[in-house]
Amino acid sequence: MRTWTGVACLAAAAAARAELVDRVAVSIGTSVITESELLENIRVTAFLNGRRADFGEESRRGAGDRLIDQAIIEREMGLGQYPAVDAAQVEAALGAVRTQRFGGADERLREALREHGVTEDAVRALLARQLTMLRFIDLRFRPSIQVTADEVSAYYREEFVPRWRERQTQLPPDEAEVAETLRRTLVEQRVNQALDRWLSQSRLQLDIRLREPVFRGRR
Amino acid sequence: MAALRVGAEQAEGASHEGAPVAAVRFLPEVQAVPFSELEELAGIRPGDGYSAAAVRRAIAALYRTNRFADIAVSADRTGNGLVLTFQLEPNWFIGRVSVEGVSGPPSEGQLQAVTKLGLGEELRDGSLLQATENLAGLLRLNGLHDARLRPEVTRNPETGAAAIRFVVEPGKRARFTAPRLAGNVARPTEALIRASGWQRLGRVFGWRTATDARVQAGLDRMRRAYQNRGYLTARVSLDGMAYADQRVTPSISITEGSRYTVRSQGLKLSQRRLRELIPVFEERSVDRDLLLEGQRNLLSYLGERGHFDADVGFTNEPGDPGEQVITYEVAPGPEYTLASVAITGNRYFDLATLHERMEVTPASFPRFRKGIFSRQLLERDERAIAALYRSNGFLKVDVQSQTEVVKKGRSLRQTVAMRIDEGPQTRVGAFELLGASPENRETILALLRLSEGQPYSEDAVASDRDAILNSYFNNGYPDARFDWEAKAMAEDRVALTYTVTEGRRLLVRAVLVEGLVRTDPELVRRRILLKPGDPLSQSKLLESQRRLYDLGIFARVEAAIQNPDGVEDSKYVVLQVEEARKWSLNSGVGAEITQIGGSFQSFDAPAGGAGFSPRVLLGVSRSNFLGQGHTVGAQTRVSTIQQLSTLTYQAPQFRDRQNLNLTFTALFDNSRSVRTFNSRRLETSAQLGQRVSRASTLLYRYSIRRVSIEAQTLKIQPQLIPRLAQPVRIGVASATFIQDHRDNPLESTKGFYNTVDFALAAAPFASNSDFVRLLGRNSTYHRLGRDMVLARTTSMGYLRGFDTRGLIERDVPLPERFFAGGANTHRGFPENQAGPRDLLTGFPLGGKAMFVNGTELRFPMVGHSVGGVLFHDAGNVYQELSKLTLRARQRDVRDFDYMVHTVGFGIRYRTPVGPVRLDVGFSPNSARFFGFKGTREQLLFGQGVQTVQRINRFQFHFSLGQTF
Repeated sequence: MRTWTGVACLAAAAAARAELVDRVAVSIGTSVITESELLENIRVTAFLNGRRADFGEESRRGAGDRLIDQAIIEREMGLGQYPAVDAAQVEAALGAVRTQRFGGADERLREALREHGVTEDAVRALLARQLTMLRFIDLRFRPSIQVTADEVSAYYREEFVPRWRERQTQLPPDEAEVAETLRRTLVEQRVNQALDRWLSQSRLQLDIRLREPVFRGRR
Repeated sequence: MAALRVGAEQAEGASHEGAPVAAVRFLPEVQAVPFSELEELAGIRPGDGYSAAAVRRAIAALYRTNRFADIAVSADRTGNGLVLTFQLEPNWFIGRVSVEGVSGPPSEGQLQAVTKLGLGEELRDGSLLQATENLAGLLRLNGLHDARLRPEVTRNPETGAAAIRFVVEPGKRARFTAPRLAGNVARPTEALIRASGWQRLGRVFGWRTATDARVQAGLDRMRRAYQNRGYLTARVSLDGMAYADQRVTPSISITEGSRYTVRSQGLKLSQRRLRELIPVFEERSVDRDLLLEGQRNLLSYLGERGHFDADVGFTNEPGDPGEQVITYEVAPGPEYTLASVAITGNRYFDLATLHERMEVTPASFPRFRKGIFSRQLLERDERAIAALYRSNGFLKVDVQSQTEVVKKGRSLRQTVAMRIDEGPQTRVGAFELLGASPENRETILALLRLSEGQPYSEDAVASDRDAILNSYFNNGYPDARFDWEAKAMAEDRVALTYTVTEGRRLLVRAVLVEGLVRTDPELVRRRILLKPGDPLSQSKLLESQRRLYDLGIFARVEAAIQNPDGVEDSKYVVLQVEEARKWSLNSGVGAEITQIGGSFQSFDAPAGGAGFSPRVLLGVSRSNFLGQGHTVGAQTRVSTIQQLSTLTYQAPQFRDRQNLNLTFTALFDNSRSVRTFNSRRLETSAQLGQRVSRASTLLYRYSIRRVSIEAQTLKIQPQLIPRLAQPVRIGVASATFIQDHRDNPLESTKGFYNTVDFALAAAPFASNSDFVRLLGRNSTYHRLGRDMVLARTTSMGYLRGFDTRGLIERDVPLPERFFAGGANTHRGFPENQAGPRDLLTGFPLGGKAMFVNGTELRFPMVGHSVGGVLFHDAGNVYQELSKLTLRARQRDVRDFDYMVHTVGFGIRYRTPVGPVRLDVGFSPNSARFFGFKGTREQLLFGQGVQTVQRINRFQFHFSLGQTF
């Protein structure tokens, strides 16, 4: 008994000096998203969006949602036969960021990375995940989406023209001129709807638990 | 975790990156997983440089085990480097679940099941609340509306198991009140209440207590009240049970529905036959499936009567108002006899093998007078034979049948000609097994049906797949997968590749046994085949479960893997047992019809006559005596011909040997089974049974008994009474060897059965009568054709009395002699009436040698349930072995040493507990003997009259089970 009391005292003393370095933020079945992953996602997303990182509750919940969606998709990809994204595609995406945001200057890129407290590898990892997700969506949902000419016409009449008239004084373009653009918009909408439905269903089937103190920024 | 100091939010741990790790700790100190395994999972060791990514990986790996509900890692900078502390909040896994305080119903099993707390599964938030609500619901269903429940959880951090105990204060059980009936009731309320059975003896004793079983039974009986009147679709459903003031009021909705009538057109069938064939009456429901089943039954009924082309359709239409009429339209067609089924073209399989797989059967008397035939059956048979060929590599087999009808006189004779084109046999040209690790490869190869040169078929691949996966599952590979590919090679050869993915191997961390109260834990432990470190084998787990059940002391043995979803290399195996009740009582009444008759004084009918003896049984047993799995029991059987009391002590699996059992018995028997005398027997015995192999058993036994004969009951010559009526103590050591190679002990069709019993009674065994006894039996069973069985048995016995030095032959006490005759030995005699008889009274005296040979031809008679037997029994009980003879003629009325022959016929009716049998035997040379007409006094004073009597040449026997 004396020994146990001693150990407990030592542990308490150590804990009192200790700094929390990481912990579970979300669990999905037996896999986890840690707090450090959550915060890194906020930083890298802020970096890519050219904003300051916000570690408030709302931002944390947003990052949590994104990571949960990614985890669900990665889980599904692990069960099926989906091709992985290769390194060249990731480098191309990073190159596009470098060009568009920093005029192709490595030094400016590195400076921005330092400011946001993120590494180039972390950015690569996030880009890889986003590309993977896009590929999954393309392979899983896009092939089953069909948009008919009637649906395009209905969209032109009921959505495109009224919105055009709200914003423009000119006459709207003919349907034939914008039909292909409208068809692609409809396809995108439906892909997103299908993805949302699938993610909602998957969330219901999985045991997803959020550790509230992490999202409220409490220790 | 609340005590942890806040770190730099924007880059937790970043300042530590690369700093040396001095120590890794896991808290709390007591864990269900050893620290070495936690260290292995975390993958961070002292001396490593700190890395946030490594910490993240460690958290993920530890969490994947599902052992922890939460994980936080803190770092403490010391002079030697960082001390990393993993704070682990454990998950708990369901251990023993018990519900205490309820005197059923519901039963303990129902209570445990309704909690839905699965053994070994994670105890989640809300599980206990849900379980408590479920329990309360079940208790309410059983009238316990005021029950109070309190769950208590005892957690064991060393195993992660949480034992859950629900303590129930049940309160008083509610009683029924008059139900509220709604809907189309149509019948008097009083009649429905009476039908429900919710009142005790009508209304005289008020309402019964409410239980779920009574509610359901009551609803069922109300429903039957409608269905018995033809309202087959009547609905009686419970809407709710209102509770107030210790009373429950069931609210019941009733829909009477239509009244159904079933009739046939085109063929006259009685209502009784229709009720037999159309299952709507038996099932008390009407739907299309049942009507189709009725159609099939009618076709089968007609087919059995030779109407092979019969056509049956049905309609279900409204008749008079409120009535629904089901009409079966039957076109029976002509009546045929299936004369023959000829098969040609078969080379690989012989005709017997093919006929075994066919249901189409030519006519034979008396079983199938018209034969069995229908177009569907013939197609089924074609498919079955083609499948047989395909499973042996004949992938291109073709089976075609033709039927022909020939008119012979007034009857139509149908023949079936089946032609088989076997085609080439495909074999495995090359075989490869991929993916099996070297340590498993040889084991797997030894299991396979297919290898190079073997006939190829998909059935064989499926059989190999099952064998491979079973082997892996039983060796701790729960995720093993199997794929296969067959590629065509040259002529009729395939290249076959099996690919195995073994996956992770699971080991046993420890075996946890829950629920032992009175039982010695060591007794249980010794029967568990899984040990820590063993591969987690499903078959060994099931075998351990079976061995625990075999002890006979557990009402339930549940086996599970703790934390089944967690990714761990080693698993706890949990066995939850529920000890059976210690005491059990059994009682029964019965009767036997046997040769009974006469009285102490009467000397009439020494050869016996049919009689009736009522019987009462009473027994009590105490299981799991001293927690060792032993059983102590007392049984009493009282009838007009026997009073028997037995005390037994049984030690199954003696000394932990599955094949040994030890039994001690003490008995008192007062018996009149042999009509010559009443014997009184006091006996104790010890017997060790040893199962040598699957078919062979040895029994070693020592018995000591004191047998006395009631002198006034001895129906023999007065001068013999003083000698034969002496009480005698017999100490006997014996051994029996039993060899059983029968295919089915209840209804043997092939194989053999041998027993040899040797017994020695002598002074060293505390016997005051010395003799040796040898008794042997050999039975064999041979199949003749498809349905007939030739069975034969020969029993021989030899008995020799001697003095203590073995020099002088001595007489053997009357009760120890051989007595034979009756349903199970020689059917030419009534029970125990064979052999030597008293020369004055004619009552049997038993003998010292016995020979009985029985031969039976067993054959089917009507359908599958009724069979017949032609039998011949020959033999007798003889005075001495030297007097054993095959002579069939009785020399005179004092000669009993000859062979009595009996021929007869028997009927067998198949039941789940063996055939019920009736045998009638005729014995042309049954024994004649002197009987005595008079009273005991007349016998003593030399008065009375001796008359020549004879054992009835016709004997009948009625009993259960085949003769041998």
